[in-house]
Amino acid sequence: MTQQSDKHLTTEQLSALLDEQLSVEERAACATHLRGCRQCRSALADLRQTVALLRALPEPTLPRSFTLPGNLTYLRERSKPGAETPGLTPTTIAQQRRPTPLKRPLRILSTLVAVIGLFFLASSVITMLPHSTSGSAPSSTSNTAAPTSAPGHTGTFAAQQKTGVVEQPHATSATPGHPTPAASPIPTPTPTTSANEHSASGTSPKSLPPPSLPLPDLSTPPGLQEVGFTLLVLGILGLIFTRRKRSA
Amino acid sequence: MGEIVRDNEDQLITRSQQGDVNAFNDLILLYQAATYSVVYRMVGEAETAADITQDAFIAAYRHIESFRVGSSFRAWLLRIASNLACDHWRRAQRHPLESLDQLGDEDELHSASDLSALIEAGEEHNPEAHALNQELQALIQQGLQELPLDQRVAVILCDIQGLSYDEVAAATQTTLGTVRSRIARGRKRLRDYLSQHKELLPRQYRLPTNRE
Repeated sequence: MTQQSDKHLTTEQLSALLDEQLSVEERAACATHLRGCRQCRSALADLRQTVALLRALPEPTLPRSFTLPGNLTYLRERSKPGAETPGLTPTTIAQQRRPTPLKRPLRILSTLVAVIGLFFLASSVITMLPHSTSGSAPSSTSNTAAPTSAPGHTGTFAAQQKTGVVEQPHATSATPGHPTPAASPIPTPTPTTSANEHSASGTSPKSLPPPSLPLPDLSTPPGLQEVGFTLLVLGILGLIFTRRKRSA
Repeated sequence: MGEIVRDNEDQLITRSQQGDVNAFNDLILLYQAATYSVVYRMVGEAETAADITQDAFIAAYRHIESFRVGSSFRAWLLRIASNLACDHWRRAQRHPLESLDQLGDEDELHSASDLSALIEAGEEHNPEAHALNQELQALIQQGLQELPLDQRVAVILCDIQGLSYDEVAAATQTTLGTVRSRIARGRKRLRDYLSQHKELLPRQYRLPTNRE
């Protein structure tokens, strides 16, 4: 009790004191402390004033009567006796109005898929760049700035179309798992800007498209692009889908 | 006297549990003012509070069979109502645009000069009156809405509705210790909020010190 008197009283003690929620001993200790501590007395007065303000608030006027119509028997749920429903009641009702809880994870997943798709696309572009400049092109250093920007965008879609074109005959004629024969019949690409335009239209392939499988080969740039593009489209579709549902 | 009311209430509950809507409507008449008041103080908007109150009574009627006769019907009902109000509040916090139109007129009350002028006018006309004028009520309401939900429910049930700590514990499904702590923290926070707006309070409600 003596230690109590040199420490200031907590808000919880003061608040409980106001409501007479303290035990006899606690109460006596608080009274002793309050006699000697001006700060705690004023804190108690503050709390008392706050409670007085709250108690002085008038009851809001009822906008209408909330009685139920007589034909509401269908609302009754035949719940089992002893079932603890009231705590759950509000949440079940709220869940009917709330958008489905799956939406958020779906959005996150879609974003992730789109980001991974972009990553694949970007990495395929990066791996393609040195390949096209060193391996197959007598490229001039002065020209590098312009073509790099072009394959970044058109090359992606061109390769996409191209792999689609090349893949079909392979899927039907050749057995999967033969990357070398796939490379041989394709003519060596011409690395000029006109060739880029051609490849954009999907007529002449620019680089060797090894994927001979229905599943894209991740070790090659076109395979990476295909996966990346598909993931990106899936992610964007997912995002559009969840957004539309949310606003509805 | 209280016993008679209690017996009557128990009978109404039993009849309601047997499907008597009229008996339940009598219970609604008994508790609608308290229920609406709690919800209104929770959300601070009349129209929304009315909708939530109506939902609470429908939910209570649907689940009246699970109520155990003998425990506090008021606490049970206010639990449903305050839970619904909390759900609404959280939803509104998550989607603030949906509830923008509900703020409108209440925000206009917070112009400081208007507030002081009106409080002084009120004091001149009836200096002894303890009734709070509209603007002061709006200030306290705003202070309540600044409280975290658990503290807000506890303070409203205890200090505005006059529920005992036991009933607050039953209504919020917590222990007495938690109730005690939530009420204390809620009051303290409200006190801090009001002392920031000290100059706006009528003289008899001015907080004597500011310990900050």
